[in-house]
Amino acid sequence: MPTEYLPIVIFMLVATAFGLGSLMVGIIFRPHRPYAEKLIPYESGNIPVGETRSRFHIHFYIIAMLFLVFDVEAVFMYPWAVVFDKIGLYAYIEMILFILILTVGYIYAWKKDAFKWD
Amino acid sequence: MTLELREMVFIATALLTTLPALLVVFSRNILYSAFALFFTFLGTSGLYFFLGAEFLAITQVVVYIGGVSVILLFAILLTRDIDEIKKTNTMSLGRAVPGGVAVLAISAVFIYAIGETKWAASGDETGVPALTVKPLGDLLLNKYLFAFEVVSVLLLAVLIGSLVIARRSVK
Amino acid sequence: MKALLETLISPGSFDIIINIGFIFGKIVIVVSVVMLAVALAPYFERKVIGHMQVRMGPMRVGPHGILQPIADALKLFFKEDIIPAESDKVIFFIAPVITMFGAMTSLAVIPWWKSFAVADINIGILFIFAMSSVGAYGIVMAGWASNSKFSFLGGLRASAQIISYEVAMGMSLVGVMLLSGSLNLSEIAAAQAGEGLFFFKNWYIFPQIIAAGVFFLSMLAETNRTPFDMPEAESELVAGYFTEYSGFRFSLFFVGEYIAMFVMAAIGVICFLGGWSGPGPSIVPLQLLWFVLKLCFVMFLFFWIRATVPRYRYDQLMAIGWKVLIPLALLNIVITATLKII
Repeated sequence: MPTEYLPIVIFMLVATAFGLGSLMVGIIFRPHRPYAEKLIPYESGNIPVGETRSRFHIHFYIIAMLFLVFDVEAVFMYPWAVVFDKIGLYAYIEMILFILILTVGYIYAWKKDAFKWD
Repeated sequence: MTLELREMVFIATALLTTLPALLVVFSRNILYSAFALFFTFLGTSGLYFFLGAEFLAITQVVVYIGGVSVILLFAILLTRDIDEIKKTNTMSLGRAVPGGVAVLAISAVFIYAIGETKWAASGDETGVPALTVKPLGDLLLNKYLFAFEVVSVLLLAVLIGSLVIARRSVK
Repeated sequence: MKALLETLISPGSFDIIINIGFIFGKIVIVVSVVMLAVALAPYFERKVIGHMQVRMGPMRVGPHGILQPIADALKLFFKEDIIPAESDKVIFFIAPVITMFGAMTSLAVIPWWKSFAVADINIGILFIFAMSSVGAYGIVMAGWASNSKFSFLGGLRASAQIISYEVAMGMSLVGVMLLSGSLNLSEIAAAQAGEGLFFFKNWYIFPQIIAAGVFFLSMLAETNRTPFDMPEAESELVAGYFTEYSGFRFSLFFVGEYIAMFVMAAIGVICFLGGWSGPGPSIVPLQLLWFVLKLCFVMFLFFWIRATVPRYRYDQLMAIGWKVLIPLALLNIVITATLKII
């Protein structure tokens, strides 16, 4: 592991310690007087009805799927962008090809109403 | 025997990877498995850092934590037949046997691969190519150009495939 | 344990300990300064919005209400900690810590002045993206664990929104990477340095105006700010994914969100507004001053927009992200590359 990542490891430890620590320290000071009514999940003052984690629209799933595809495409663009100066025209043509193929998929998704929320 | 600092960090990272992985397999609540996978992915990313593959490590977090584990969660929450979430990942003989065989087969492949790989000797960091973004871009656009373009076609197939499947399940 | 002790007393480890102490000091300074800023940011937000709506904002605690953040923090600290019945205790506990972890760790790669960042890594931009996905995962966990309908919907909406806009944000910055040829935040900022009267002539906001626009809108959506604050839309979802969180657990989310705002604003400043570059000699205090001033300006934009723009509907939000911002970002990549090749 290159040494420049050591600060990040330490930073992660500090951040975790901050999160856990601030919750732990508070236990000493704060009151704790629970009773049944207090612990009911908030539902505008009513007793909660029905199932909480109800099934939701499949569209959320499609969005997550689309994200994965486009994010991987974006990840491939970063190394390309960084070496663009060095490789020049060759890199340009390759990426135009890459983006064109991506655009085909994008147009397909649009035509199939993947971005339409109903 | 003295432990180097990097070895201590390595052991911590390895534990962060493997302990939640056990939870993924043995938890009876499938959502716990999904949440534990988060830590496994994070730890795997840390292991990539140790291999000097920083770009891969960060991509691991972006794609797997940001994308794959969110998809997993959505998929679990979308499933129709979950009545009692606490007993969704039960172990039975019918699952344990094929699972165990798969684990053994994959371990064999990994052990073989580890044995075959020419590892850099400890302390000899000069022999390891720096897998940062620039050399990676060079390789991707020259040596592995074909793979690079095939990836875009593959992603196109993934996109169309997922949309077709999702549409079918709506109807 | 024995090995650990032997490591600590071995002769070579003294340097390591000094080194770690030095890094630790840097981290403590950065974190405390940001925490102070995060404490003051909601106060300024309330003041700015108040004055924009022709009212005073907080006035009671201290002169002009300046001590309000301290009063708020104390109140939150001593509040009773309520964990709703039938919630998933473990996940409920971990979720805010993970969101906080994601937000806070992002601070590690931000260069505050020339060649000062806690960790000056090659892939700084990507690290920020990675940590923002980690934070988003904490939000989903919170939404699921709370066992409340409002939290569940808020968590779902937040995750879908954040991943949608992350694509647009990631692609908008490809133009900046093309121009600077680097993913290192220090190098990106250094590439925009300029001197004299037209010190701003190299700022990427001019050649990358499309990207800057896309980035700015995605930044609002990524941090769940108005007009894209659907995950916590108070008129329909009470408080979204942290409806059931109270006391200090709530404040971890709250502080995490403000740190995320700072981080996003800092990325915007570094990638488009020249980072620490500014008029006058290139010395450390001035560099820090320019950086902080620009940061404050972007933060002010956040508040200004909150006071001005009404909330979008969820379908509009998704349409803006997928049908407008992503094509614009792609177009920007093609335009930038074409201009570079000619």
